[in-house]
Amino acid sequence: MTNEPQRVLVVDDEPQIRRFLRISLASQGFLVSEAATAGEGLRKALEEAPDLVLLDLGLPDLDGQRVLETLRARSAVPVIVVSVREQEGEKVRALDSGASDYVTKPFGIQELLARVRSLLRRPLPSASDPARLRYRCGELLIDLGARRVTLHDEPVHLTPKEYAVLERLAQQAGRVVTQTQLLRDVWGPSHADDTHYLRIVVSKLRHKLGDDPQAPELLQTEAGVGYRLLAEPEPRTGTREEIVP
Amino acid sequence: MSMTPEGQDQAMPSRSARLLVALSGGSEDATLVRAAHRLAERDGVRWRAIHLDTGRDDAERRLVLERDFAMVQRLGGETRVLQGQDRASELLDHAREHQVATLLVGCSRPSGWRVWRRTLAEQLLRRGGTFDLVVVAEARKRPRFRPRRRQLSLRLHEPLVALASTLAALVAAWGLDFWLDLANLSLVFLAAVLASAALAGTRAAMLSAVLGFLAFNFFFTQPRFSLAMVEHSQLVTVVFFLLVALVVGQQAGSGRRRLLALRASREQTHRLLSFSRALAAATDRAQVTDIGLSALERWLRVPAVFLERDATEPGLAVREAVPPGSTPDAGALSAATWSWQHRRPSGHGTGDLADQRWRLLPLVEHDTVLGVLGLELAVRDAAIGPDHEALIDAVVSQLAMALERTRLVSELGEARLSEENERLRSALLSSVSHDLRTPLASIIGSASSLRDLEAQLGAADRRELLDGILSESERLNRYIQNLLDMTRLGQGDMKIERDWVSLDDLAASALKRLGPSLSGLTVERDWPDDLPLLHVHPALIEQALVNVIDNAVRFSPEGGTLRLEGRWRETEHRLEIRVTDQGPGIPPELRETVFDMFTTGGDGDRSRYGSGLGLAICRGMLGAHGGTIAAKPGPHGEGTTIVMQLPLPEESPHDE
Repeated sequence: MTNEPQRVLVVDDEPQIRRFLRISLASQGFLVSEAATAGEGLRKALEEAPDLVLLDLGLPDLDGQRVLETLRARSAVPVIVVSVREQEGEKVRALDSGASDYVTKPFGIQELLARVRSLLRRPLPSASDPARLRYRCGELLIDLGARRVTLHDEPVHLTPKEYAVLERLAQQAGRVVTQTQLLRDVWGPSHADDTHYLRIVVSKLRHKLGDDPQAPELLQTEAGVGYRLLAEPEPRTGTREEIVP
Repeated sequence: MSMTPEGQDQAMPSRSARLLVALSGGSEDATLVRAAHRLAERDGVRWRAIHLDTGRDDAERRLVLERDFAMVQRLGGETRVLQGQDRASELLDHAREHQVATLLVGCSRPSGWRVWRRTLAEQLLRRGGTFDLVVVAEARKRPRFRPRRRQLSLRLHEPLVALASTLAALVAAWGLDFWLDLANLSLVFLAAVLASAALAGTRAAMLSAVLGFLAFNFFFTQPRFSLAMVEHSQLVTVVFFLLVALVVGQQAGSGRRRLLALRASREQTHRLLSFSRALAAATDRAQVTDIGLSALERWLRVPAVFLERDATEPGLAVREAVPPGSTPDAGALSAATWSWQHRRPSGHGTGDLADQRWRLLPLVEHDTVLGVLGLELAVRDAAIGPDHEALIDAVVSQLAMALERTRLVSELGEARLSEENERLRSALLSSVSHDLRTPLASIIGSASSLRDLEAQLGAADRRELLDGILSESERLNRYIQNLLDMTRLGQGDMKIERDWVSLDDLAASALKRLGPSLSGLTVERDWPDDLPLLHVHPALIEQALVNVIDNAVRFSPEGGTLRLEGRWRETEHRLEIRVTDQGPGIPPELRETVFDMFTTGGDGDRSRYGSGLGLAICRGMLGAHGGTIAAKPGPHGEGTTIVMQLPLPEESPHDE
């Protein structure tokens, strides 16, 4: 974390929701600004250049999905969609339009704060520092720089597709990646609908990485939407530096 | 470039224009109509059937035409009747006027005895035009439908009339013989011929002419009392008399025949017209069948039934009978099933299953059998005449069309109803999803913040979160109350228990209930002290007030003003309550629909104009008290004013 307080913009038309988000986020050291309409939200997102936007979809003047598309055309700011819409279609649409994550109302504050933190400390895609390309979850270490995966310090043998899926998920560790994004990036645009490929690869990955398919802790399924890899970036001066040759 | 009107017509590209078919009311019409339909379908053009009414058509022809036109309309063509005498020239005029590309005509001879006349096709060919002329030959599969001529049957009164009138003329001429010369006497016999024609028709007139000729010759020409003639002048007179008598008799007879036909045709037309009118006014299946059956029963004097496929049993069942209780026998029922399956009439007087007492006529429209009409024709002594056959045909085709129409109408209604239900259901779901979840999101979010972030929160923050939890819980409670009220309103369970109550009390308790959500707003109250009391169900009107104010609060800007006004409209004997906010206002097109159930000014959770229930409930509750509610723009076009009006009781409690 930098010393500068990070700024979060809350775009929601419900004053009560804005109020509790403002209080909770401020208590965590964030600088919070608020917007009640899409127009105000878009203006503030571009003028104030916040570090993160929390966006409600049900806005009075313009649908949140459109806000997202408009915002994405002008800014790369991470956006968490916060909405009562729980249909998979809405989630996939928001994620495909460039939302970084999706939280369904109602939610507990810890769930939201976890997503916010994961997004704000996420390495930027342009970062080339090899140390920032290492992710850890318990005894599992994923080193994207060395293209190497170890479990209990033992190398795990993955097929190219399995590695590609894991790499894609690790690049957005902590965030959901839609199955369309995964299929398109790993198999190619013509396979965007071949979800059975993905099911098989994920099941094999879970098996090889020692994840419990009944209650996965590493590779979580967001039903009908996609997958989320719950791994933390490895600190630069990690104690396990020696396992990477 | 100078052009005559004719030249212009010819220069016009007429290929894109429509197709015209000329109908005469003859047997070839059906073939013509089918050919026209086929051609029009092939070329994808509109088509029109046309008939030239010369005033000479008899009842049979009119009925055939009626049937033809029904068929044309069924096949998607237009129909038109032109008035005029010369078929060819009228047709050409019409074709030219409407830029007809193709003209279809039959090739039959004109009716009547004038066999030397050209057929219509030949006349059209001679005159020519800018269209393609298609002459359709009739498919002669069975003997032409020719109405049997009444004149063929032996009628005693014709020779009697002829004899009597000639005798009368003879007596009169005998008396006048002294004063009149021979040529003038012939006029007396001519009068007898005309009288016979008028009284008994052409045959009687012909007979009377011959009798008159003989009598004239026998009694008055030289030598008298002999048929021999000697004087040339007398011979000429007598021969001319015969010629004139024959021609005049023929003309007068056909004039009478035309008159009779016209009268019958007018009656038939009138019948069918009033029948069509009654059918057009019928709104459901039962009315249509009732009108059809009653008409047939009245005109043919036979029992009539309507059979439909039974939902519970196989086969057909009687759905309607005139007179009531008429039932076809088992044989007729199986004939009905046969007709349903083969889409052809069967039973009495037809080619199939002809030994039945009933005739069964399937009502077919767009290749679907809509039902079977049963007529117990065997109860009539005489056979059904051609005019009655044509009448039955016309009624059957009109009935089928009317049934199809009512079927489509009811299907449309059902579709609309289920669509409406579907819309309400999905609106209810999204409303419940949004209106229950939004307060819950605040409550759960605030409560989890209080628990999980306790250490980092200041006292003021904790207090604010707790306030939020309370006010959102109240809101949730109000929403659930609204849902319950709506259900009760919908089921008509809402009991109105009236009591005297002042606007002061109503407003005070409504504002108290809204409590925390009013924070940050200024509420202005403005009404006179002497406002009359309302005689209403206090809880219901309070709920309506809460909903209106709640709605206004939601759209008020931070620190805005909410204005509550009460006015006594003395002339209308009503109390008016106005709630004005400083929100964004409601677009004019939505001012009425905001009171519809689940109108949220957007889809899904975009609840611009309230929960979608609140204002609908207000309207329901005020309506139950005989009151009204409307949305108006606020003063100076700013914000919104909701205007509620409640009728005041006839007597105030102070008068008692």
